[in-house]
Amino acid sequence: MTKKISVFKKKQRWDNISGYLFLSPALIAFVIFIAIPIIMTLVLPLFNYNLILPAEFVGLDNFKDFFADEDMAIVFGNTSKFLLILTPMHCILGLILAYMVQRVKHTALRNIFRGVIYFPSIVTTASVAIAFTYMFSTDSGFINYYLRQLGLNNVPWLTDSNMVYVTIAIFSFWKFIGTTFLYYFIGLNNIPESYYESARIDGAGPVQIFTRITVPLVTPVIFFVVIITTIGVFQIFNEPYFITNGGPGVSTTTVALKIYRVAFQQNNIGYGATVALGLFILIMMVTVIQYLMQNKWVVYDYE
Amino acid sequence: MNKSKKIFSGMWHNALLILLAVMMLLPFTWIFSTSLRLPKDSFKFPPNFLPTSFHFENYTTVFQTFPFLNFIFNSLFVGIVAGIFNIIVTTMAAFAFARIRFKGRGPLFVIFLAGLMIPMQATIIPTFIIMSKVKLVGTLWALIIPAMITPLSIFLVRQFMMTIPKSYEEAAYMDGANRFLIYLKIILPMSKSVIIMTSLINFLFNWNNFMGPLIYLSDWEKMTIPIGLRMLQGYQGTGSISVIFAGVFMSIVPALLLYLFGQKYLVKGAAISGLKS
Amino acid sequence: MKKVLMLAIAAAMAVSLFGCRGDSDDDQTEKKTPGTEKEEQVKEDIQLKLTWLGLDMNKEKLDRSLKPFVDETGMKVEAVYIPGNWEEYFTKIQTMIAGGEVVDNAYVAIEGFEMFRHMGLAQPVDKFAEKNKEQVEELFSDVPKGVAAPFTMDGKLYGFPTSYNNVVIHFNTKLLKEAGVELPQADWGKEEFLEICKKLTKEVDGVKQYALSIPNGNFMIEAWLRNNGTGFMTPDFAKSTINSEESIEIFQLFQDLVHKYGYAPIPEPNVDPIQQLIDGKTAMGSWGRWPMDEYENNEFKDVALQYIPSFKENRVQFGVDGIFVTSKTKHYDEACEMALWMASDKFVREYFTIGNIPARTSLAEELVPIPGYPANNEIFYKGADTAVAVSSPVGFAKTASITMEAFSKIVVGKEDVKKTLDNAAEKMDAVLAKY
Repeated sequence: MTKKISVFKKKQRWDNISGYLFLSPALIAFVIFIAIPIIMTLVLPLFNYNLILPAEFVGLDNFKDFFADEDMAIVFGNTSKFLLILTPMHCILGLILAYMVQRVKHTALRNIFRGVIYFPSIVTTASVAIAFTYMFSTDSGFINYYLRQLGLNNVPWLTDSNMVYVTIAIFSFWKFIGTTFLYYFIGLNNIPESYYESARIDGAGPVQIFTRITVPLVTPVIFFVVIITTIGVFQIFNEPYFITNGGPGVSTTTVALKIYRVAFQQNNIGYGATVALGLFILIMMVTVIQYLMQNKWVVYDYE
Repeated sequence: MNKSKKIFSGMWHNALLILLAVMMLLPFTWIFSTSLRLPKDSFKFPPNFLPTSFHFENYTTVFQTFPFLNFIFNSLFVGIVAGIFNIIVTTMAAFAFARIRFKGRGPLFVIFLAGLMIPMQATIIPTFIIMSKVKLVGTLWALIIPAMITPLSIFLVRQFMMTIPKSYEEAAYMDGANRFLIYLKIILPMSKSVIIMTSLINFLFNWNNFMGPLIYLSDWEKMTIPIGLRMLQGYQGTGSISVIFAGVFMSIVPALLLYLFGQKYLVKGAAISGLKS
Repeated sequence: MKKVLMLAIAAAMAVSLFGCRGDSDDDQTEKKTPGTEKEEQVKEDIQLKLTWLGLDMNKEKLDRSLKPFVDETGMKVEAVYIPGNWEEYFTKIQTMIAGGEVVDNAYVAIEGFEMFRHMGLAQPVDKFAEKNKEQVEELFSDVPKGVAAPFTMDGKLYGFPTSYNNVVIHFNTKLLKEAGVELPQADWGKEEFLEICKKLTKEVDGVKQYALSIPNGNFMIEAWLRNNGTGFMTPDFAKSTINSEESIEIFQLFQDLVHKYGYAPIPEPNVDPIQQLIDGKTAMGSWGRWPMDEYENNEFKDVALQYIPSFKENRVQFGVDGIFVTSKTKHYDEACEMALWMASDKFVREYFTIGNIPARTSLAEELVPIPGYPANNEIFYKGADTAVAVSSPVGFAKTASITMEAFSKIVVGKEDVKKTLDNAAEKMDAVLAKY
């Protein structure tokens, strides 16, 4: 009896040692590149630091500046606008597209659709964003050319503070819808065909099947996609950087772009870290709220 | 009656998707055909989405005026080296989380997962300071080393490894294999598809990463493709559009090749790992 | 587990704080010892590191132009070629130096002078200048006084001037001819300007052809303000004047040109106004000499120059650049030697062939006319003596971004000019008060 326990203990000890041995590379990397940076993000706002001159302790000055800075309200507002536009767009349209493609009977055609829709999401954002600005240019872009052919006026795609959101949304749809699409597509494939069969026998149309069967069955995937998309949109940087340069004015300057400008263009590391901390707290809050709300609508056990 | 209605709706359905697919491909054909035109023909109306002329010298210009070969090499170097490091770190950690019952496993896993929430912008400033202390700013290592650890990969690979039946391992224990051998000889080969998938995701992330190189790299011979392309645009956007698009198109090609190679893994791997639950 | 975590956190905090401190100590010890090692080293072993802003995307040209120096002295030169714009470039130099790279020389534009000095990145070259009086005096006797002045800060000389740029109006002469407009005289004013704009705006095949591109850049915008007797801030950088009456008048004009008269398109990222002028889509633009590169590439020669319209006066604004010696160099004398050499005929003639105006008057007079166009190319360098420098305070990166945001709000977003500029002035004053 005692022998057995000691064997068990020995195994447990071995498990502990080998567990941490296997984990050690990740643990070290985690501490250096995630844990320490997070802690430094908490500490850096207390300093005035520009990488060259000695760091100067300034107490809560950066926070005071942060709350007094009216640009901050605008910048966080801009990121929230993107959140409200892009997150539902990707989460809803991605699902509808996945449903539509999944319903395509012809296998080869279905694979082509899947490939084409997914493809833009893997190409370099920087390069295609550059190309998009040429397409949307007011006078020389071909999109306005076609609108003019239809007898419409030039649309200020890049120069109107509201319209730029539409432009970026179009770009974002084209560039990233494939990501959410693929997640949904895989999720939908896990729904047994028999569910659809029985619904069809009951005389349900495609829309009904979608709302009554598909959506309830993929809520876990929807939840996953909502979380991933939210975190992604919070960090939106390339789109405003390339398409609008944050303008007109500051109307599309996102928090991420602001952090880059403050910390790396104006060399104000302390203040940049203050903004980054704000972003971090905001993401954490939103994610936690989403997580807490999930049991209201996410159904895991559907079998 | 019912049948004809079905076919009809199926037609609409397909037509809509075909239209969408064409719209999604048009920018690519436009980029490609513009990259083969003279700059002065780039903005002619009506636009032409198919090549009208073949000025391949736009492509040679990219290589002549820019260290574009360096850009490609640097991007590949970062993508591959960071990918290899990442596979080692990820699979070892995933193995520990999935197959070993050690003390503190639960809380540690949650902490790792929480790493998913952390925006790149929140860590990039401190990481930059760390990198400048170890004098790696300006080198590709500043991009490679932090890319070693990606919480999402650890999560996905761990989810997959959980599904491997215990019996495989137990049989190996009987034969006197140790943990490391089990990891190397049994679990790793069985996790091939999910490893390929996460590696593809990571490679594409590094290949497309813009903010990192923007901050870390300055010497243009050390630049990666995305930041190099930004330079093709020139000071105040003075670069020639044809040449820019030639560069843009070349940056798309590797992604395309990788995609054709890896598509089935991307789908299969994602399907198995965790997205079900 | 919790304890381990707390420990890690505590350790990390200590490291992060220590990290910041450690850096500053490094700085001070290094500052005390410039040039002490030089006696021990043979010149052949010395390698100087130079940072260069690659505006022309042509590193070979730079290496080629530096080669005579390498051949003459036997020293090696490593040029770090950084493409981008000036603001990005300054950031890169700072990060390089913060990252521990030893940079000996830096190519710097006036926008970065004060910042370099304030950050302790630049080192005065007075000691070297005393020893090499003759050469240094020869250089400055050949450079317009106004252009040379910014190199002296706080009574000390920092670096040697290589080239400069002013801002003038470029005209597409073909479009002028088509519209029957004569090239205006040097003293043209606002009314004549608007009249010419009206004549040059038309519609061709449903696409509007505009009279001009609004100046879209800190440097160019301030040049327009100068001709109305103002600037973004007072000459001592103490207070912002971006909301002065004269400044409001010019910004209002920009807004009106776009929205009221429709003479100019809304500036867009990625629409290159120089290419627009070349393609005949706009007839005027305000730049320095840098479009010449693009003109050459496009074989475009139908261009003429004139000063910016005189609203109140004609005051040419310029921006100068030159070679600095950094405070980090271990080879002070050699670095100074190279800086001076790069300001000489040998380097400038090879490198600054087309996109800049050589700082030396003798070279400007000789080199600027060489391409054979624009016809009145002396406008590029005439008036340099009375020219005024672009406002370049320590916090230039910030003030410039404040300006450009306000500009974008006014010209693109149609926001109220006075309100926007009042707001910008407030922000700018806060930045200026810091230093």
